[in-house]
Amino acid sequence: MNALHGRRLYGYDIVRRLRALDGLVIREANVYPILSRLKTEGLVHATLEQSPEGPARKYYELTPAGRLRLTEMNDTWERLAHSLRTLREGDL
Amino acid sequence: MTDAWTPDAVNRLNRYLDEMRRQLSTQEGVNPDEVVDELRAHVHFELRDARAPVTAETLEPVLSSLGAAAESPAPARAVDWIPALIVFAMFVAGVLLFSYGPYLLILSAVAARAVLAREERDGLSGARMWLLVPPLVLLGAGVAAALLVAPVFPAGEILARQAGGSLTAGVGAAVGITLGLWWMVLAALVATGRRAVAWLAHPLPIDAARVARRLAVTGALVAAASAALFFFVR
Repeated sequence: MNALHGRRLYGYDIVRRLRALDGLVIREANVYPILSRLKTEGLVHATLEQSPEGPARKYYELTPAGRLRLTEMNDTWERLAHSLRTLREGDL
Repeated sequence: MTDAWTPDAVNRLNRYLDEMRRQLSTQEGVNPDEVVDELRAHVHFELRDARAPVTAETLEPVLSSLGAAAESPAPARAVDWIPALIVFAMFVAGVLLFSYGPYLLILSAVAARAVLAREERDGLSGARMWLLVPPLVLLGAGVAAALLVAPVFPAGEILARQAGGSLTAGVGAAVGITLGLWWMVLAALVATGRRAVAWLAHPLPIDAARVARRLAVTGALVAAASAALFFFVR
């Protein structure tokens, strides 16, 4: 969902961006079912657009509900990361 | 985009996508057709600069990179304990109830196999496996024991009758020879029907070839020792 933050991307482009992330272990085929599930849950919106390079591409973007969920998830992640950092530095 | 694909490559991609569609059909909130269309577009996009014709060998790294269909994450499902608990209850009742016990034990073993066949497709947790294995082990052990000693009683009875009704050392040795030969016959049957034995023993990891070898060796030793005893007591 962070890959879609503030931009519209088609499936292959999302996979390509995730592939470039160091340390992210995810099978590429897993991205499409996740997108489909996010769409079913109303967190992303998909539109089919013609491409000059070949067949039509499906572009994904976050819906308002998706943006809200992303903010919540990022906040949770930040809190967790902060807690782990504190634990690792021995302040607890 | 590369339009020319060899028939092998087309078949390989279709098999992969069919398997993916099958896997996705069990996942809640996922539209399998939509995902398969996306995957097909992904593969074509990856191979857009590949030299024509695209072969199965060229395709394989792309599919490997995508990952096996079975690796797609499924949302956590509620674990259905009821079928496994019913099987276990039937098994316990079979052990406790003397008169209907054997019928319930057989029924619980058949039900355990049915639950395994249904749930293995979706992944059966180890905990529920513990409820299903006991009836299968008990029935399997019972059938195996019955098969192993099957000829002992008729052979002993016939031989004892011929010996005037008494169970002599000679009769015992003759029964031993019969038993040893019978185990060698069983070993041959197990060796020829290895797949059937493995299927019957599922989910227990039975190595049918090893069982056949041990049965043959033991049978030969028992038959030889009994024959030696038979000639010694005569």
